[in-house]
Amino acid sequence: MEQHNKPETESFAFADFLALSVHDMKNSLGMLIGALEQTIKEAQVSASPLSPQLGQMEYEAKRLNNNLLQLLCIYKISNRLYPVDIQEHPVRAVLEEIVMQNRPLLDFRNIRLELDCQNDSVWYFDKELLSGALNNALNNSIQHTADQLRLVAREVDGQLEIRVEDNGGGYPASLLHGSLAANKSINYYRGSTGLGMYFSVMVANLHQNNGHGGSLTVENGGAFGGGCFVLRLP
Amino acid sequence: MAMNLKDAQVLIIDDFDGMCKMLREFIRAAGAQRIDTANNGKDAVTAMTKRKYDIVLCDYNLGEGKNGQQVLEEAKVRELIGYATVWIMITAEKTMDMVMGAAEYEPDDYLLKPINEELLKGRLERLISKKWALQDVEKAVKRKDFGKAVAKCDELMKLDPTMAQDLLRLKARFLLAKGDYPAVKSLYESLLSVRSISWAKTGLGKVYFLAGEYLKAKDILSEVLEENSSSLETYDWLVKTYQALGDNEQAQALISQALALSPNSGPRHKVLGELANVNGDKAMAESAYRKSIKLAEHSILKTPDAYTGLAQLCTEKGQAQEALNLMADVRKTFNDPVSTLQAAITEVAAYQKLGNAEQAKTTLHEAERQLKGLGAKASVQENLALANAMLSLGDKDKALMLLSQVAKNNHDSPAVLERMDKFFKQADLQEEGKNLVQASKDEVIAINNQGVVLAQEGKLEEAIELLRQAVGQLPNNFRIRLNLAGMLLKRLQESGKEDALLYETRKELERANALRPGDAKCLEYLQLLDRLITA
Repeated sequence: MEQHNKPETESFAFADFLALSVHDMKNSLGMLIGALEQTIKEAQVSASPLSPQLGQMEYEAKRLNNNLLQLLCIYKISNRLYPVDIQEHPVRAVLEEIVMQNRPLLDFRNIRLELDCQNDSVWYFDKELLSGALNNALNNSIQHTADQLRLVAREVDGQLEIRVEDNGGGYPASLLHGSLAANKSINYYRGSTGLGMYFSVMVANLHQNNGHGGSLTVENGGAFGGGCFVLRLP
Repeated sequence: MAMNLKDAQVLIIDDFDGMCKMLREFIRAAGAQRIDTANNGKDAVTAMTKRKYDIVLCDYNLGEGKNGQQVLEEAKVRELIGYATVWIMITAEKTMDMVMGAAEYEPDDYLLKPINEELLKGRLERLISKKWALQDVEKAVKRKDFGKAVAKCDELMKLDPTMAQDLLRLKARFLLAKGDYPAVKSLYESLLSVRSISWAKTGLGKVYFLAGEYLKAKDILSEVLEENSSSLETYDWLVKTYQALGDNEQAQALISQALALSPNSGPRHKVLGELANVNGDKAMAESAYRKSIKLAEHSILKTPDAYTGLAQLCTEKGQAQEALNLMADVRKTFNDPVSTLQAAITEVAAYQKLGNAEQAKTTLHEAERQLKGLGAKASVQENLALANAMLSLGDKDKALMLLSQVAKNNHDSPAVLERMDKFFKQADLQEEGKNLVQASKDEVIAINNQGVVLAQEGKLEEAIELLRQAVGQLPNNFRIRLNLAGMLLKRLQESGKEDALLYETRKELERANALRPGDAKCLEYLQLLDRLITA
């Protein structure tokens, strides 16, 4: 018995250690992203020619940050340590903030983003989890769109439907068919490990109301005929 | 307050220079010009004593010393910041402590890293306009005019439906402060009839608890925990509920869970210490008390409870000298009458253990003087602790006199009488205790009855005088105060308004409400008084 117990304690300690390190890495990334954004802005003001690689650097740093955030959340949720906090929020204000977080990258890449949401719309969700899922979707779309993005939120059949639409090439058939919830296998589509989708499905499922759960689908089409990430919350 | 960022006085608190610099750049780019920075809690507090800030950006994690929450608490307690100050707490990840409850010491908002200029600017503008919208509400709160505050909330809700959530939460808080339990209850219930909202459920559990409906409180609070959407507040109220139900084991298990979710709370470690002690888990109790003392070291909200709890354990274990050292620390650090009283009572046992009867006696006398000085401000617990010390030094007559006073002050409170019952059992004075409580009850009931009879005979003036004297002798008795207020109201109705009487009535009702919040009769009297004043 003792021999069985030992590795278990070690793996538990490792998981904790990992969670702590992720927290620490997020702090560093926060600084890195801040510094990059400032550098980009200063260069824009002085009109000095900028390497497009700077934009790529910011995109990668954000991707790392999103991944770390998702890993940390998944770890905490699985251990019932994450404070799921479903509250009423003004939807437009929350979406505006998500756009603000991505504004420097959008501007740098000359991507036009439309926000379509009623001013007085309110809904129930965990703000940080929803932001995590949408930041991930936006970051993905920024990489794959041609030059346009649309963030839409509206009430459909008693649920809040939030869509991230782009005018890129769209999702591959393998992702369009079959359940996303079951799609835990590693899949290198769009350079992704499937972590973002796994996390977003988890976020959707954590939102429950009167027996109805949230859902996530991806489709092609929307206003621009490109990829659409569609999250529905009860 | 400064309405735009350009005129705002800003303080940035972060232990990491790079972060301070970056935040300064962001906020300067957003338009602010007057920006100070501090690298630790101590410097931040000093800065706030010198200058009034409109905006404070504070990292939660400040390394050694105070954390961000403790800086905020100190700023609020010492009134270094006003209501108009916008306080944003910055953290790297979402934690349990960020789930907004109805707690008194919350920041205006939390901001998760990474932060950029656009995000910070947008958030600040939103918070400033929210403060602006809520200023009338806050003015009413400052005057303790909760009725007005509630009315203002209702007005604002009609103007801006996106603010409804915040306003409903505030409204519930004000109704609770008024002691109007039925209104809070129906507010929560109407919210919950549409949707399961964890803060409303927690709030309802709290109201049940305060109204003494412990089983209902237990059910609804447990439900929130099962739905995995609890705040730390949910845990705190459920712990209290289990304690009230006498299930200290379950209470200990729950507070341990809350500490696993948020390990840095000094007050919760103190509660764990008390529960572990009651449950006979002395080693756990000692370690919890020590953690509590350590964590609260830099907190302005710290209390001597963990110190006295630990000192009692030390004395029990034969380490009386350490107990005395701890109490010397309490006297020096806290230096207020209640703490000194608690220290003195705790020292009596320690001196006894050391065989120093002389010093024990001297200290007991000091405790008696302190209690007398405190009057109505001393709690039942302190009274019982002192009575216990008297008994342990063989001063039974004095102890019984004190206990009789406690019984008279609380003659119709089942909870207190039950505690006294336990106390007598432990002191092996069951029979004597029973007689004492009965005699005390009879005496108070007789006074009340006498007052009622006098009033019925039309001798209202005499009845009022009788009850005034009784209040003087038993300042903590809810029923006597309430009856006095009832007679004063009658007098006001019969002989017209008189400022001194109106004032006296309000004072009696407020004291009564403080002794037993939310009593229906008391609320009815308060409303009657309001009607009399405006009539």
